[in-house]
Amino acid sequence: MSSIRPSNWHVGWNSSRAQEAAITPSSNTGPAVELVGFSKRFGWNRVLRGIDLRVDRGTTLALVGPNGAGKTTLLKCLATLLQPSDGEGTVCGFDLRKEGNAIRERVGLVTVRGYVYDDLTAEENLRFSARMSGLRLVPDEYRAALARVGLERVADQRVRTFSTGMRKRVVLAQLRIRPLELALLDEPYAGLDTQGMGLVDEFVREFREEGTTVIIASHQAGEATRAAEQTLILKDGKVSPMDHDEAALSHLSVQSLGAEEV
Amino acid sequence: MDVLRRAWTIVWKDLLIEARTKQAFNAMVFFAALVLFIFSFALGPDTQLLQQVSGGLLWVGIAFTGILSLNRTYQSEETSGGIEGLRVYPGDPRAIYLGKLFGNIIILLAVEMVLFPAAAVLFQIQLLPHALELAGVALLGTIGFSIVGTFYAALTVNLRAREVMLPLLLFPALIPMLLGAVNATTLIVVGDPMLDSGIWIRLLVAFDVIFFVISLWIFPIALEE
Repeated sequence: MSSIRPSNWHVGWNSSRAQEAAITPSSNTGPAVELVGFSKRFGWNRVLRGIDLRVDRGTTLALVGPNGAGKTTLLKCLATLLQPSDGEGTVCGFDLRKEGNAIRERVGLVTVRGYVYDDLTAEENLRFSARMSGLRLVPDEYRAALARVGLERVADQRVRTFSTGMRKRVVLAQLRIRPLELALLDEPYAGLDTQGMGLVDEFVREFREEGTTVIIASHQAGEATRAAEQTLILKDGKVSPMDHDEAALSHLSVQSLGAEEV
Repeated sequence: MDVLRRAWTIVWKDLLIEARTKQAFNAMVFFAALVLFIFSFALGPDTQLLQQVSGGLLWVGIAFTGILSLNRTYQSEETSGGIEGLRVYPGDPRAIYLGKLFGNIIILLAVEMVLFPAAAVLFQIQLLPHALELAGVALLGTIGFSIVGTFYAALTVNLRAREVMLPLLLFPALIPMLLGAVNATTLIVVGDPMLDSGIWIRLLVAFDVIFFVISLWIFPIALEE
């Protein structure tokens, strides 16, 4: 079992943020993620093969691997968008198979394209996301969230007119408008310029200070390992640990981590 | 209450996008008008015949047009990651069904606001004396169509042949609703001295209630991968 347990970095849940959003932080102090014999099949294609994984709360974990390794599938399983084929798992102390709603209240997922509507403005997208999450924010708060990602000037423009990087910034703003116990970032650096990448790093740092667990899935091993405290390699549907300091110092590519580009 | 609030958030989003793009509404109005024109020309100028079949023609037009709306119910989510983009949020998944259902009802009723006057002109029907009764039947029929259609659209959204599969699955299930709506509409248009339309209206009400309960109950299962 791969145990990611950096106890010296562990920070507790920020109770004031939880009260703001009127969600109840999970009462147990178990790991943020615990998977045992976790597998996922699509037909005959076995994407995840018996993964054993434990991620302690407050940890920032990089999950690196080539395209098609199963990183996105794993994150979607943790966000309860996909059901495991075999094995058991808990996220924030809740059963992945039975307590999906409790998990979704505490978990935020950023995908490559994000859940953003092209024909809504940036502010309307934030409003939709907040209301669907059960939050009622005032217009100034949406503006502030967009200013935080450098989009205050285009808040009233439709996302259809945005570049890939600007779109990704809207997705990051969506992630920050509600408190999370676990943030799942799938290829968060894709399509971003240097400033945008710095913004992701800043968000990850803030999450860490708040005690939020972060899992960054990326094929860009350099960026992901730089932001994370621990690194795992996902290859052929299985995870294996990697020494973080070694990867961070050497900025190793995915190929040199032992995974073959698909 | 949380379910309804989230459902209205989805309605607000869908109608706002529709108001900006007008993709569904324009296509549906043109298609419905075309269907009515074709039937009108095919049946000729016999006013009595046109009035006797007007109920059937109207509901064939509504059903075919409604398929266009249903097909784009969940496809409209594709730019934002598909239906997954709605499932990622916490809360009861029935809010997704209710939101899409309300949206379909509103868009279909808006199309019918154009369709009924067009049918009145083409089939020489007196709308105003029966406006209230026809509006009631249209509302019940549209709600029934949308209840079943929104559910089946969720079932077929991930199928490769969804444009074919949706009407294949949907129309057999809609037979009681279509029977009720066609007969009630025809009786109201040609005259209903024995008040027989009441039976068909009761059938429509029963259809709506039964299918609403069933659809709402099993929608979370249909939504799973």
